[in-house]
Amino acid sequence: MMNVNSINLQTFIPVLLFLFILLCIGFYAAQSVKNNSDFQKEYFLGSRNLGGVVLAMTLIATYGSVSSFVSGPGIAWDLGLGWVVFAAPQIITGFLILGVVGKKMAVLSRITGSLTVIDIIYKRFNSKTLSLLLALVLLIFFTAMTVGQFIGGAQIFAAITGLDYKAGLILFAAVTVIYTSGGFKAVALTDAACAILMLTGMFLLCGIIFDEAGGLDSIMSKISSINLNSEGVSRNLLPDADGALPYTLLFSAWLLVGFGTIGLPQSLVRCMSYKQTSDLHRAMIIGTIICGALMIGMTLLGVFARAVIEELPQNGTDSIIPTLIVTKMNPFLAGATLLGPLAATMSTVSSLLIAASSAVIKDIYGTFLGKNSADHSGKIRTLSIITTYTVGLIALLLALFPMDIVAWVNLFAFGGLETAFLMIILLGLFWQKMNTLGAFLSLGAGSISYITVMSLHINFLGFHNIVVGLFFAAVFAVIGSYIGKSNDEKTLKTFFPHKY
Amino acid sequence: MDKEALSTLITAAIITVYFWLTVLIFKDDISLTLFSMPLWFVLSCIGGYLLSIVAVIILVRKFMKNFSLTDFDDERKQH
Repeated sequence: MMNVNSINLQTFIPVLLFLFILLCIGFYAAQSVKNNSDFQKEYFLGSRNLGGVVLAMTLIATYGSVSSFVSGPGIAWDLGLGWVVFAAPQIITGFLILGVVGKKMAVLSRITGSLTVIDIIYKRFNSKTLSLLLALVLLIFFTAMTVGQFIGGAQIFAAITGLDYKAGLILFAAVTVIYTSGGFKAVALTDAACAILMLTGMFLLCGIIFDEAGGLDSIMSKISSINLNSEGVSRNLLPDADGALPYTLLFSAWLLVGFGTIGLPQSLVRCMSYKQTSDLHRAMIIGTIICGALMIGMTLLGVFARAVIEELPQNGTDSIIPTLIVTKMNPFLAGATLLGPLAATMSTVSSLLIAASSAVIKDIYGTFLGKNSADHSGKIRTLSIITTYTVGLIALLLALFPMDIVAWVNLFAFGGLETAFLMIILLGLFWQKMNTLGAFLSLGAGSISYITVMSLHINFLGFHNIVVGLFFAAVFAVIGSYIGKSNDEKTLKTFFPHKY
Repeated sequence: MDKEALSTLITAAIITVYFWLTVLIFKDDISLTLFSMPLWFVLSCIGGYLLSIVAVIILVRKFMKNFSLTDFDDERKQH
């Protein structure tokens, strides 16, 4: 098989080809930005032109990240089918956000001229301070998540190609930032390409696992014989991994990676970017088919990998999938399979970067500092692209020289974003009584409670702490809405026309 | 749009309930297998996945309506 200590040139062939294709797509899409007179609408939202297929692919690619390919299956190798139970809520993730808020977001985005999620929130609650706070929350969490993705991607890149960690990181990070600076359409189209590679990566892994292990029967009988509990049953076959995954944790996964995903700003912005309702409908179906297949499939492959890699490698569960690829596949195939996690990383990063840029330019510079007028538009073009490069560079530096605090923030970035945004968006869009004070209190109480319990490692009966964060975010949203005064009639008429 | 949001939530809830029923009912007998895998797993995870596809197709075809989004582009210019 492969010499694990030297650079494998053959692994580079599919990788370099893919990176080149992504740059081409980015360049092609960037032409739309050059030719469009409404720069911001095209750069941050692709002029709301996404079709159903690309919408589905960009949602999935943005959501699925390096952990879907590396750390997730690694944990599944260890704990067994119970980890698939933890991942299972993602069978609803493909249609949930689109079905619940997709149409309202699209309609309101057009009526109010909003190009970002925070923009819509600003139009609803009319508070510049709220916009600033949400933009800062978004920036901090997105940067930490990007760094996490960069590190994860660089590790598997190095493991499979043999290239130095820093060199590989700079290579794919640079490509990602360059094509992201082409704008939203570049991000969406490259996301679609990445989603395809994520699927092929999964199928290649599936092939090698079944090939090496000799079929499902053989795999399952190997798994039944390990980690036996007191009743002689393998914990890898039990939904709660014989107690390692409490049912309370498994229930709360339906909030964390299920219902709570409605609050993710990087997904919400895509709800404003499609062209027609038929595109939304198509994306719901395609999204469900692909997202479920990827999430359940990759996790299950991690479980099955137990029959191929029988002992825990030196570097822990994160190295299971890389070890599998390096030791069992020929170099070219290994390079092609590497594209799965690499594509997952790059697609997530590109979406986070473009959204972070929009938060700086539209929400902080534009809304909070009030520099939205047309006079600034030429300057804004340059500033937007510089911002994309700057955020990307900061994340790259933090990945080249890792700091503990960034890893720490990344741990609660996902839940933190859901806690900050979910109730504000859901209640803001569907409940007339929700007001500005409610939004502030929701953000404050939710974020503080979530960060506190996560930092102090407090745990209630095994429930994931997202339950705490969302509970306080909801309760204080309601409290604030009853104490404070309602938003003005003009705003409410815009957001709830059917009630007037 | 509120009705469709509710329909979506109900669909998601039905899938959630189906998932947990199949796990809780079948989890205690590991000897029950289907395609070499534990029955609780095949019904809840694989079955749940297939159910989600059927459910979303029904949701979209029967409960969601098309309307023109460009109508709202014109409205914006009046604001």
